[in-house]
Amino acid sequence: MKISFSWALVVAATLLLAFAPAQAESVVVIVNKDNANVVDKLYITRIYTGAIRGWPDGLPTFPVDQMEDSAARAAFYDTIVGKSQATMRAIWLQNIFSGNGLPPKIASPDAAVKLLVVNNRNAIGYILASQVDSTVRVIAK
Amino acid sequence: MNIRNILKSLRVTALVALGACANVAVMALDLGENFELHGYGDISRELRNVDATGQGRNARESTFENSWVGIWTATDRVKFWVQVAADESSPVHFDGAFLDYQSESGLTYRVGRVRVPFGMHSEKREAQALRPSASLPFLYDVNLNLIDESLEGGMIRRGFAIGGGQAMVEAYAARAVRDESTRVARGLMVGGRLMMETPVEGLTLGVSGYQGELERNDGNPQLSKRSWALSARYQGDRVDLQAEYGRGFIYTRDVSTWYLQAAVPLAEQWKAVTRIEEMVTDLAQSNDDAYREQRVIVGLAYAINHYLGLRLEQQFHRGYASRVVNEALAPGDGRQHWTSTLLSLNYKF
Repeated sequence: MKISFSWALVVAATLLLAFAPAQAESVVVIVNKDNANVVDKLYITRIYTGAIRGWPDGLPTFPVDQMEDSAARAAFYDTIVGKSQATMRAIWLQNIFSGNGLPPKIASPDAAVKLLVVNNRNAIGYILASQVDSTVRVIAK
Repeated sequence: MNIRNILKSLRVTALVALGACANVAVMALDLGENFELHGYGDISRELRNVDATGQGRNARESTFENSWVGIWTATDRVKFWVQVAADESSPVHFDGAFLDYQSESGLTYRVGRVRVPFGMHSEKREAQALRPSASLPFLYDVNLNLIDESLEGGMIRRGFAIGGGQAMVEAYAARAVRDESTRVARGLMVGGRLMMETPVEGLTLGVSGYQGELERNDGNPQLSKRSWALSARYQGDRVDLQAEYGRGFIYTRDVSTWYLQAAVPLAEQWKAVTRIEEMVTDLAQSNDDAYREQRVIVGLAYAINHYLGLRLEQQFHRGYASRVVNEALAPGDGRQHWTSTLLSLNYKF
C-alpha cells in the first residue's frame, strides 16, 4: 500500500500534537497599584515561606495563596518559589508550631485573588498571566 | 508506665490521628474565618539495654506527646496563640500563650508565656513529625538544662536583609518557668537569638544564648545559669545537614554538647537519617562514662501520608550520662556500651 507524503505529514503532525507535553500557562505575581515596593523573586519566596513579614517600606505583607489543586498554585511554587507543595506544607507547620506565623490566606480563583489585591494595599498574590489587567501591578513573572 | 497508661496513650494518639486523616483536604481544622487549630504528637516505644546491674536489661518504655496550637487572628497585625499539651508524665495542661503585635516599623512584640528561643528547634522540639529522626539531639534534652521549658515575659523580633541574605533577630527578658518538681523555681533571664538565611541557598546559620540568675526552692538565691549555642543547617534537594554546638554553665556544672546530622531522601516517602553526637554533663568529670555520652543513630522515616509518619531508629551509645542526668541511673550503674531501639508513630495537622 502506498501512502502519500501529505498523508504521512498529517499523521506525524497529529501524533506530535497528541503526545507533546502540555505547556503550563505561566503565572505572574501581583500587588496593589499603590504598592511601590520593588522586590525580587527571592524576596517573594521569603514572603511565601514566612521568613519575611513586611515590605521594604515597613508595612506588613498580606500574602494570598490559591487552592492546592489550582493550576496557578502549581505553576507558582514550581517556577517562582522553586519548592514542592509538600515542602511548603512542612515549612508552614514548622512556622506554626514555633509561633513564627500563619500560612497565607487562601483565595481562588484568580478573580478572587485579584479582588483581594485591589482592595488591600499590602496584599501580594499570583494569578495566571492571561488574567492580568490594569487593576493590579505585576512585580514578577 | 503501666499497660493501662500505654493503652490510654495509644487511644488518644489514634483518635487524634484519625481526626487528622479524616480532614485530608485542609491543613488545619477550619474553625472560622479568624481561628485555626493545629496539632502534633507521637507515641514511641523504646527498648534499651543500659543497666550494668542486670535489673534494667531489655527495659521497655513507652512515651507519648500530644500538643494542640490555637491561633486567633484579631487583625493583620495582632495574633493570639495558645498551646495545650499532654504527655505520659502530665495530663492535659496549659503549655503557653502569647500575643503578637507587628508594628509599622517591622518589629514584632510578643508578650506572654513562650518557649525559649534557643538553637534551631527548641520551640518545636516535641514535633517529631517535623524531623527525620525519632530522637532529639542531646542539645534539646531538658535534663541537660541547656534549654528551659518556657519563659514568661516579653520579646521583640525583627527580620532584616543583610549581605544578600535575610536575618531574624530576637531578644527577650523574662522569668524562666520550670516544672515545680525540679530544684530551680524561677528567675530573671535575658537572652537572644540571631538566625540568618545566607545568600547560599538553603544555608542557615545561627547563634543564641541567655543568662539568668535563678532562685532555688531551698532559698539559696542567685544561682547563675549561662547557655549559648551555634547552629548551622544546609537544606538541599538531596541532603539535609545540621550541626549544632551548645555550651553552658548550669548552676555549678560546666556542660557541653554537639551533634552532626544528615538526612537523605531515599524515595518519595522515605528518608534515611544518621547523627553522631556527644554530651558532657560535667566537664570536670568528662573521663567518667557517667558524665560523658557519645551516641550514633541510624534511622528511617516513612511518611504514610501528609499527616502520619513512622520512625524507626537504632542507637549505639558509649557512656550513659543521659540516663544519669535524668536520674534514671546512678553513677556506676550503667554499661559503657549499650544500644537502644526506638519505634514511633507521629501525626501533624
